[in-house]
Amino acid sequence: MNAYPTAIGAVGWLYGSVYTDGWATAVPGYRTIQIGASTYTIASGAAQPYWFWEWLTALDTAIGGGWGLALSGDTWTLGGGAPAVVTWLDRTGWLLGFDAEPGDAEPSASSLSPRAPSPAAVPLISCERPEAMSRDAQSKLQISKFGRGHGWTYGAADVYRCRVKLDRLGFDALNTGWLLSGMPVALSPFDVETHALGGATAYDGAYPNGYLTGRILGTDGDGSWVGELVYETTLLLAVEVP
Amino acid sequence: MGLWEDLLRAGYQYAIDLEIDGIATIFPETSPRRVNSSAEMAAPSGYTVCPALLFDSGLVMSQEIDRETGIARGDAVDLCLAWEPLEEAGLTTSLFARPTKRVRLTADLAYGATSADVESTSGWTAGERGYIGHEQIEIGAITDGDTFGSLTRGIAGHANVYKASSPTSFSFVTDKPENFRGRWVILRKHLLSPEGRALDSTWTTGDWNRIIWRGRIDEQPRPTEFGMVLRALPLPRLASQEIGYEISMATMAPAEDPLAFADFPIVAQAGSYVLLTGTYSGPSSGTFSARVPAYTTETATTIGGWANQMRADIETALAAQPWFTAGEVQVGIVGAQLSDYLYHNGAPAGTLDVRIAFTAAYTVHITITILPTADTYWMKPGVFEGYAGLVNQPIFWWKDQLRIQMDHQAGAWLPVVQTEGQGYQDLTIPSSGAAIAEADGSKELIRWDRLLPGGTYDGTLKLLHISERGAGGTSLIPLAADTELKFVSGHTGTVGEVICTLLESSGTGLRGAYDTLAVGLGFGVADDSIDEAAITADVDLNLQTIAAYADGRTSLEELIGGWLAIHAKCLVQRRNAAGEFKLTIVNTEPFAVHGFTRALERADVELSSIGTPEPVAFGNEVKVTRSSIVSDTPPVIVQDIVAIQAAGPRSFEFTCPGMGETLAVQLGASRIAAGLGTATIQVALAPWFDGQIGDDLADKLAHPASYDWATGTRAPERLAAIFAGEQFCPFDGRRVGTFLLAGILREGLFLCPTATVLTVPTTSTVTTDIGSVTCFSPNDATFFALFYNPGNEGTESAELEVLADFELAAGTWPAWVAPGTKITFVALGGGNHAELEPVHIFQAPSRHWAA
Repeated sequence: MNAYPTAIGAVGWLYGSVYTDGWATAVPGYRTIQIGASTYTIASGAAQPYWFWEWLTALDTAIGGGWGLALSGDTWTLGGGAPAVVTWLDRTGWLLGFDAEPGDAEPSASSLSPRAPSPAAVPLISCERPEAMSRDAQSKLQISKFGRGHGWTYGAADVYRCRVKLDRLGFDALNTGWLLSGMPVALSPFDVETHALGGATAYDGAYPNGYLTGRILGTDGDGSWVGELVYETTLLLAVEVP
Repeated sequence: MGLWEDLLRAGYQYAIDLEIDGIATIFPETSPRRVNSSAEMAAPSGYTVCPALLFDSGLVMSQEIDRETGIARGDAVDLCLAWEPLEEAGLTTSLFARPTKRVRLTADLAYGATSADVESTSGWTAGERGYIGHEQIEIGAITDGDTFGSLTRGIAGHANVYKASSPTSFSFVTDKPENFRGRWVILRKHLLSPEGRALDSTWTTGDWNRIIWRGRIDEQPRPTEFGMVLRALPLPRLASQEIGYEISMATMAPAEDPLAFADFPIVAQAGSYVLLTGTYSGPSSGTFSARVPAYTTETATTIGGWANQMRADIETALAAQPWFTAGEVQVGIVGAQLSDYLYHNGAPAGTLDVRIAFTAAYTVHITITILPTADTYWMKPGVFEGYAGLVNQPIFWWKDQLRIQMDHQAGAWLPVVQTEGQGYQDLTIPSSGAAIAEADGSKELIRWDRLLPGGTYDGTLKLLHISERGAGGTSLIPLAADTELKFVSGHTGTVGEVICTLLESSGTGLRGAYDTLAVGLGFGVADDSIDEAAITADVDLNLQTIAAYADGRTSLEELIGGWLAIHAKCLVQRRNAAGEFKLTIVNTEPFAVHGFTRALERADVELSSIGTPEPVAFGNEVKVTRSSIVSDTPPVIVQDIVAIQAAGPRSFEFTCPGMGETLAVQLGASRIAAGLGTATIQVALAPWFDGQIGDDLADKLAHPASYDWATGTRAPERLAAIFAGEQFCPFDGRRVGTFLLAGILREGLFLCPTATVLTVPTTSTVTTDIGSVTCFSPNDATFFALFYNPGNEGTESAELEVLADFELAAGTWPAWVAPGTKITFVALGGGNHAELEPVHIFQAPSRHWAA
C-alpha cells in the first residue's frame, strides 16, 4: 500500500539504477543517511550500478541502530528502531521518495514512509506491450534529446516503442529526468519487493511477461494529459541485442 | 574504461565551464545545485560565477593528427557568453566596455614588481583592480601621485613583463580589460548526476571535473545576436604562430689605438683579478700575495677603469709591506694618458703597463699571474716576471708582457651595438638569445644569457654575457670589429627540450622549468599545460641535440614540426596517464604489433553512423631539408623512381634542421611506406568511450565497411588503428572519431632494433655491437629479448629474460649463443607491451636494423 495518495494502482514500474562507488572511489550523492547522531553509508565494493532494488537492499544493509528499510509491495518504510531524527546528508532521501534536500531533517519518528514515488521507480498505471520498431524506422528516428550524448543508439540494439500512462505523481517522478538520463532501466511488471527478493524474471522468449532492460532514448513525440490525472506518453527503449 | 566513463554510461551528465586567463569570473553553462547540498556550485576563491556560456548547435571542437606538419589541426571555437546573464552580473559594463580609467606606464614593469610608475594615479583608489595586457592586478596602495604600490600581480592568471615604450595598450593600466586576443582559455566538464546535480562543490576544482580543451583567444570579443563571442583556437595551433623578432647587432673590438683600449667596455667581477705574488729581502725578508683589483660585485666598466682600480687596490694591498713605496704605483694602458693611469712610451699598444716602486734597500721579486678564466677575458693569461729597476730607480716594471687580448669565450661579455630592428620604441636586444655571426663564409652560433647596458657609454651599447660559442656544432670565427650578429629565434637542445622551451618561455621564468628565453621568444604557456616529462622522454626525439634556429621570426611548426612528422609523431593535447590534460606527443601510425591500449567495441559506437574508409594519400618522394640557419647541409631526397614512373610523382617535404643523412634516409623511406593502403574511417562515438587522439587501438567493430589488408578479410574481427581525430559538439554532446587504419604493407615493413653478439665472455653475459640497450627497454630493469641465429631459427632461437646490459637474469646461455647471434624484440605476446610500445617504432640512428 502506498503511503502517498494514488488514484489508480500501478500495473508496472520503470526502474532505474544508482551508482554509489566504483574503481575504489566513492561517488557522492546517493549513499548516505543520518539517523539520530549516527551516519550510515552504503559500503563500497559491489558491482555498479545498482539496480534500484539492489540499492534499497544495500542501504538497508548499511543502516544500523535497529533501523532499516522494510519493503512492502511497491513501497518501503524506513524505521524499526527507537524514534530518531533522520537527516538527509545528500540526495538519498530524494531518491527514496522523500522529496528532500541535503540538510533537511525529518521530524523524530520511529517510522518514515516516502511522500512520493521514487524518481528511480516510477509506477505506470498502464503499459502497453513494447512494440519493436523496424530497422528502417530506427534509422530515420527523430527523437527529443534529453541530455547530451543520449538519444542515440550505441552498439547493437533494437528500439521498442512503449506507450505508458502515469498518474500525476508518477509523471512528476519521471519528469525529474532520472530515468530519462540514458542510464540502464528496467521496464517491469514486478514490484520492488519482488525484485529485491529475487522473484522477478527477465524477459526472454520462454517468458514473455518478464521485465525488459535497456535505456530510454527519449519519447516519441509529445506526451499528453488525459484529463487532469493521467499523463500518456510513448517511451523509446533501446534494448541491447546480444 | 574508468569511473568517469562508467558514470557517463550510467546516466551521468556534465556541465561545461569556461575559464579565461586574467579574468576572475568563471563562465559555466548553468548553475547546478550539488548532490550534497541544496546550494548551487560555488565560485572558486577570488572568482565570481556567471552562467553565461552558450554553445551553438553548429559548434564543433575538433582535433586531428596532421602527419605532414607534426602539429595537430583543430577548428576555431566560438565561445558565446549570453547577454542576459552577462547583463545580470554587470559584466557587459565591467568586462566588455571601454575603460573609464586608463593610465600609461612611465617605466617598464617587471613580472615580479609590486609597484608601478604611471603618469598619474588620479582617480584610482587603493584596493581597486586593474588590467594591463592580459594580466589582472590589484592596486593595494596609492603610493603617490604617480606610483601604484603593493600590487598583487597575475590575478586569475600569470604575471608578465611590460614595457613603458610599448606602442599598444600593453603599456596602459585600465579599469576594464582591453586585450582579449591571446588570452588562454580552458573548458572543463563537471560531472552531474542523472538528475542534474553537481558532484563537485566548486567550479574548476574538485574530483569530478576534467579539462577537455585548452586554447587561446584569437580575436577581440565580437557581439552577436545571442551574446558576446570569443573566438578561440586550440592550443596546438599555437605552434604555427610566429615568435621572435629581427634584430641585427655589430660587435665592438678595441681598435689599435691606446684610447680605444682604455675605453673598451668590459664587465669586471670578483674573479677579475690578477695575482700579485713575490718575495723580498734586505732589512727584513718575507713573501707577499695580493689579488688586485678586488671587485666584489659585477661592475660594468672599461679596461681603463679596471686598470685604475687595480692601481688603487695595489696601493692598498701592499701598503703594509716594508719594501713598498706608497703613492708611486702606476698602471697604464700603453699609449694612453688619462688622469689616473699613465702613458709610457716604448711598449706596444694594447699592453698593460704596471710599475710598483720599492725601497732601494730591499731586493724584491714580483710576479703577476693572469689566470685563464673568463673573468679576465680581456687579458692574455700567463705568469709574468717584472723587471726590477736600477738602484737609483727602484721600480718593479711590467712593460710589455701584460697583453690586452680579447678572448670572448663563454662567460665573457661581448659589447655590441644594435644596428637594425629598432622599430617604434620597444624592439631591443633581448636579455638572452642567440645570434649568427658570419665571416669569410663561415657561420657561428653564439648564445648569451644576460645583458647589461654599456654603463656610461653610448646608450645603444650593450654587453652580452656569452653562454656558448660555437653552439649547434658551428665553428668559431674571430669577432673582429663590426662583425654582424644576426639575431635568430629558436633554441638548442633535444627536440623535446626545444618544444618545451619555446612553448613555455615568457621572459618571466614563472611558467616552469623551461621558461628560460627572453620575452617575445616563446609562447608563455604554463607548464601545467605541457606534458614536459612525456615530451622530453620520447625516446625517438630526444637522442640528439639540435640547434633549431631560424632567421628572425619563426614558428615552432617551422622549426620542429618536420622532426615530429617524419618520426610519425604529432603534437596534440590530450589527457595523460595521470589524468592531466596537456600538450604532448603521440604516435601517428597504426602499427599492427602495437600493444593496443584499448579496443573500439560495437557497444562504443553508433553503428548506423560508421563511414566508409577514405584512402590517405602519401608520397613516393620525400624531401628532407636538413639545413638550418647555422649549417648548410644538402637535403636528402628519398624517392621511388619506379613507383614515380608507374604512378606519377607525389612529393612531400619535411624540414628537419640538423638531422643526419642516415636517419633522414631511413625516416623518409618509412614515410613513403606509410602511405600504402592506409585509410581513415569516421565513427560516431558513445560519450563514455575513453579513447583519445593518439591512442593505438584494436578496431573490433567488424563492420562491413572495414577491411583487413593483411589477411584479405572483410569485416575483420580486429584491425589495428590509431585514434587520429575527434570532433565534439558541446551543444548535443555528439562525438565523432576519425581512425587511421593499417594499410596494405604495414607488417612487412615493420622495423625492429637488432643487436649482434660480439663476444660471450661468461656463461651469462655477452657483449654486443650497441652500447646502449635503451631502445630495447627504456624503463625496465629486466626485459625479454629474442636471441636467434639467422638461418637456424628453428632450433637456435629463444626468448630470454635479460638485464639492461643483456646479462641473463638467471641461468646460462644456450650453447648456440655465440658471436654473430642476433638479439631483437620478442614476439609481442612475450614482452611487456607498455614498455615495447613506445620503442617499437624505428626512429634513431643509434638503433640497428637487421635484414
